Amino acid sequence: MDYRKLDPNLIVALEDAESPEQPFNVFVTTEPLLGPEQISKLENAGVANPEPGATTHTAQVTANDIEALTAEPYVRSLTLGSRLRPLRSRGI
Amino acid sequence: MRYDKVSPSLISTCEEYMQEGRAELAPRARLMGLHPAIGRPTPARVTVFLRVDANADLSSWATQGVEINQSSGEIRTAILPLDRVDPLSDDPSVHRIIPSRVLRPLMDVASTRVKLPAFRASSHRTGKGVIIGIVDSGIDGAHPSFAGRILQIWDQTAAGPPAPGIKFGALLVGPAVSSSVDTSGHGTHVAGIAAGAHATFGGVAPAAELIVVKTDFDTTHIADGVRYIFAEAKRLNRPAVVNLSLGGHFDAHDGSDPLSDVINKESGPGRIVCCAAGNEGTDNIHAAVDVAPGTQVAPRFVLPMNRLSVVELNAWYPGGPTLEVAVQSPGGFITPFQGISSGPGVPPHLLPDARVRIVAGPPNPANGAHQIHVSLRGAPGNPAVAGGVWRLFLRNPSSASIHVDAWTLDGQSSPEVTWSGSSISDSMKIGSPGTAAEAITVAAFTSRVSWTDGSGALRTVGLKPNDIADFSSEGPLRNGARKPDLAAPGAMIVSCRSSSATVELGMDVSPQFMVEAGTSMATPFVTGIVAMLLEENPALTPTQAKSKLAPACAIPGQAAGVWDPKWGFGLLDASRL
Repeated sequence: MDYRKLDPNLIVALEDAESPEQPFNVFVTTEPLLGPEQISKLENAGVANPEPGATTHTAQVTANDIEALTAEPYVRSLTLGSRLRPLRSRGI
Repeated sequence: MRYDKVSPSLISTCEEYMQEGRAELAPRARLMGLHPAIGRPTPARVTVFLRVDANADLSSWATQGVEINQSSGEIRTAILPLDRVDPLSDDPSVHRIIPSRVLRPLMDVASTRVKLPAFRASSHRTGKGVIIGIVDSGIDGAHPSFAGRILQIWDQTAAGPPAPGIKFGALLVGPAVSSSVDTSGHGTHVAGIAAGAHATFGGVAPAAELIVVKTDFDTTHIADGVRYIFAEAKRLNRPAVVNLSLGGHFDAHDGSDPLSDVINKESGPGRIVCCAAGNEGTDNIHAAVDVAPGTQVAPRFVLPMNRLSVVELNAWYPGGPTLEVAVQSPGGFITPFQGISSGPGVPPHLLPDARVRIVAGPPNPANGAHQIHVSLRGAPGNPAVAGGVWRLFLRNPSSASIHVDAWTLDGQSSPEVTWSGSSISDSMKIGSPGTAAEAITVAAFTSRVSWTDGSGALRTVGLKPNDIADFSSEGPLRNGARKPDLAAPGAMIVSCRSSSATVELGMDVSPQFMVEAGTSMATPFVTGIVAMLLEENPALTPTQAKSKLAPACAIPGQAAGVWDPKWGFGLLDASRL
């Protein structure tokens, strides 16, 4: 696992994981202009619909997938998805 | 009649009806939910709120023409013949009968405040031909304000079948969209402001069509939703504007996060995204400190007592010299100082009153900055994080000063963990996706502060009228970029009410409309305006849209073109578009 490619939130989430199969929603940032072999590897690792020209992809991955992705030289970083909230104002 | 159970105004109405007949009801119908049905054989009816026993079974009243909209709960809404008020008040499970009230049309107030009617009259635009994308809590697909204009709903929270090429959720099209529910009500309200069609409470672009993504609010799924809407718009050969009335503070607050990146890359000619600035204007969620060479600082933050299971800090500082970090609990226990870690995350520090995990990574490749992530949990055996005053220690062993910005995260709808002392900073409270450079980021203006609620009570909120809303989050971004872009009405706004959402009594207007506030409400106002601009120019780019909007905005008392971290370029005046 190349931890240098993981954001701190994802590192914490991995350490808190209850099982190796626990899925994580992540952004995978890659080099642009990926080839068919790289696209295939991303798909096998859980990346949804990677496009050749895109650099930011979404994926649902396990710890093993994350380890495999960080080993690929064209994968720049993985960022844990976070839960946003609707911006209605309460208590005014 | 149990006079002690019936609102005085309804008693008066009933007596007038009994003595004078239904013709005398017409003037009152302008003030309360009366339906005189003059000239028709149906009885005169009244829309009411009922305060009842929570588990009361009132179904037998249906045989007397009393239509009660909920089967449980202490507050229910109903419509009933006026002559049934008397016997209903005798029901021991009914404690109070209150007529609904007709409020002033606050969307009209908001619309007038930004001169939308003038823009409509001169441009004759309604958003026709444009797709408005809503990524939110869903939509009440059966609400009449959207009838025939919801093209599809991608429900990311439901089980399939999903859209072609999509791996999760369910796609609803055609008549199936009317089966979609919005138990939060947020998305329905937002969609109503952007595109609702109604004589009184209509939205900004009432002829636009909608593609709705009902999301679980995970940032990766929000990104998928934005991509999906633009892909569908491209397939339909239509321009689109996507509304994101959502946010958080997990990011670097500089637009370098992946969701902002997706928005920037998806935006372009005929593809525009509008984002809310955030509602933390009065919440001390941001600390800013300078750590001089060879020194340490220890900003304080405060947790409520035994309420939160996890609390996080999200801190960032520029690449270059690095800091060492420690955390002190309310009991005075302190973790060891910890530097940059590039291996597996450091195991949690077990303090007598807390578990603390600190991860300080190498520079983030997206922005070159260092992130410090602090996670606090209860001590072993205690599910809650210790309440009280905590400290974040930042030690600078280098020879250069280091500036640090840090945000508290507690997962609550209103922040409960806040900084205290001199480290508090009111700036940089706009998080992703409002940070996206290509997005139009919207602050909230207060166009209304009081109204009469459904029970007839005057409601007032503690906001300064005709001013930027206190709660509206301030910019700029951490890298100095100017956000928000502009302000639009965001308090107090009447729009569509989801039939499956629970609504606070004072926020009700009618069974179909309700009051809300927030930058969530200001954003769809601008989304609707952008839809009208796209109607005129389907290839309009985000940059061109901003170039049209900015000169039409102004901060009260100042010339157009002045930017302020709270107002952006100021309140929109649509007549100048």
